[in-house]
Amino acid sequence: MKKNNSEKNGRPDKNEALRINEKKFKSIFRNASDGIVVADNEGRIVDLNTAARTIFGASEKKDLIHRRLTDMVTQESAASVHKKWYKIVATGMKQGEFEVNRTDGSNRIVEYKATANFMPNRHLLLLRDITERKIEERRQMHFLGIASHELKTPLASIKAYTQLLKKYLREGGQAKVEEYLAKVDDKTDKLTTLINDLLDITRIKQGKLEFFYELFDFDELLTDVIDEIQTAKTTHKIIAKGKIGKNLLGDKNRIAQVIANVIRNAVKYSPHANQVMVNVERDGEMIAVAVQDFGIGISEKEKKRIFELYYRGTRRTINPISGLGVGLYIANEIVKQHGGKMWVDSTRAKGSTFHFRIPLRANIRRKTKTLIRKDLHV
Amino acid sequence: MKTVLLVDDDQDFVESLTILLQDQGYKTHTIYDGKSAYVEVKKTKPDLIILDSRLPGEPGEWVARRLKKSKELSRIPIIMVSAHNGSRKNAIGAGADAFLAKPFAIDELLTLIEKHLPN
Repeated sequence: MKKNNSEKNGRPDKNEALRINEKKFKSIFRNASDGIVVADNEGRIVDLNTAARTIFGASEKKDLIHRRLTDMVTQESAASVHKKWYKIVATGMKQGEFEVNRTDGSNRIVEYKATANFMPNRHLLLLRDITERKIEERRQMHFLGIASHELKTPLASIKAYTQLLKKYLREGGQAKVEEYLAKVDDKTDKLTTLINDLLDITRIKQGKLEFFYELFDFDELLTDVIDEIQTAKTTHKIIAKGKIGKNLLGDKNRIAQVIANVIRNAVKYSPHANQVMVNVERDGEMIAVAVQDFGIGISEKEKKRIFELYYRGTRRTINPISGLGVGLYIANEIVKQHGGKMWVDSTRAKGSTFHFRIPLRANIRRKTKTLIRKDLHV
Repeated sequence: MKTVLLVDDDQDFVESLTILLQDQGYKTHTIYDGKSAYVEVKKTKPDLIILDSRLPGEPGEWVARRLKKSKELSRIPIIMVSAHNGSRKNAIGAGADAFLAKPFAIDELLTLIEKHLPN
């Protein structure tokens, strides 16, 4: 049997080594999850891999070869890419961002790292699609703005009330002092709720929302929640119908939070109505709750987004809508963790009905950190 | 007696501010939305306006811009207030004479009012 060179001297020959190397680089080029583009001095594409083709949104590689990078980015990016390209070629490595304008009209935000002259007159660009990350960053920034506004609004009142209190204390206005202390108290509760919501969304995101399961009288809880809201809100009459008549196993405080959230929303989004209907019924081993308002309603488009984090009702009809835009997201999460479901029926300008169904005996999810009272045999 | 117009939709805030300003000898009246603010200013010609940036109907910045464009109303000083940190630039850009971030101490507001009130 004829032995080849490499086996003779124990080393692969030069050609063989080159072939292996080329194969290796081709494989890296093809399979890299980052986009790789080879471009010439004028910024025209000479070669690119599949990931880069995906970023540019082209179905065929040949559609992109010889095209200029400046032709494939948005107008805003084009000027800066053009300017930077000659800097990259002249000075070596650079990194930055540009926005790709795809053939289908959509835009992608791309982070690039450039290496000039990795071969004579050939320049390498590594591309990464960071659109999702950017959108999330923008959403977070926007949310931070809303959150700080929502936190400062009650603080502005508290600050003004304390100054009023000083005045009345000086002048001996006992009744006024009591009135404004009650208002400060109310605003402090509002702030506490806001901070709790902020903590809740952080916990949900980390999968660490804690539940404390116990048996409780749902009908009693509903009455308590309605009474509490009714005392503060005199604009709407909250009318409850139906009974469960059986104890529910679940997290009492969290269920109260869900009920309060949908009722408060019903009031908030029906400024010209004067009542809210709460219907409760038992459906076998499930309880079904429906909260109906006669307000502005929700469009089909909005319905899809209403349980999303940070989503708030459109501002066209009531302006401005206050709140963090996290209430329904949290409520939905609580219902889901109880093994239930939440949804909405709505007609624009007629009103909305928010429904949730939860099992009488919550099927406690294993994933959730759950505390169960020891005296409960479940 | 000098008149101050308050334009803010936070009723609790407006109520306490009203008492504090009246205590200092100012006459006050209140508008709760952006849309009717312009008409109200035209009708009552206050000596000074305290204008929130986030209002139902029309943002405070729009109200300020319209007022500052008007020949007869542009001389009325506007103090814009907001719970948004980034609003200062927009407020001044819209022609407001001063900006105050919420929450603020009443003394800060009183100092600004005295500074901007025409003698």
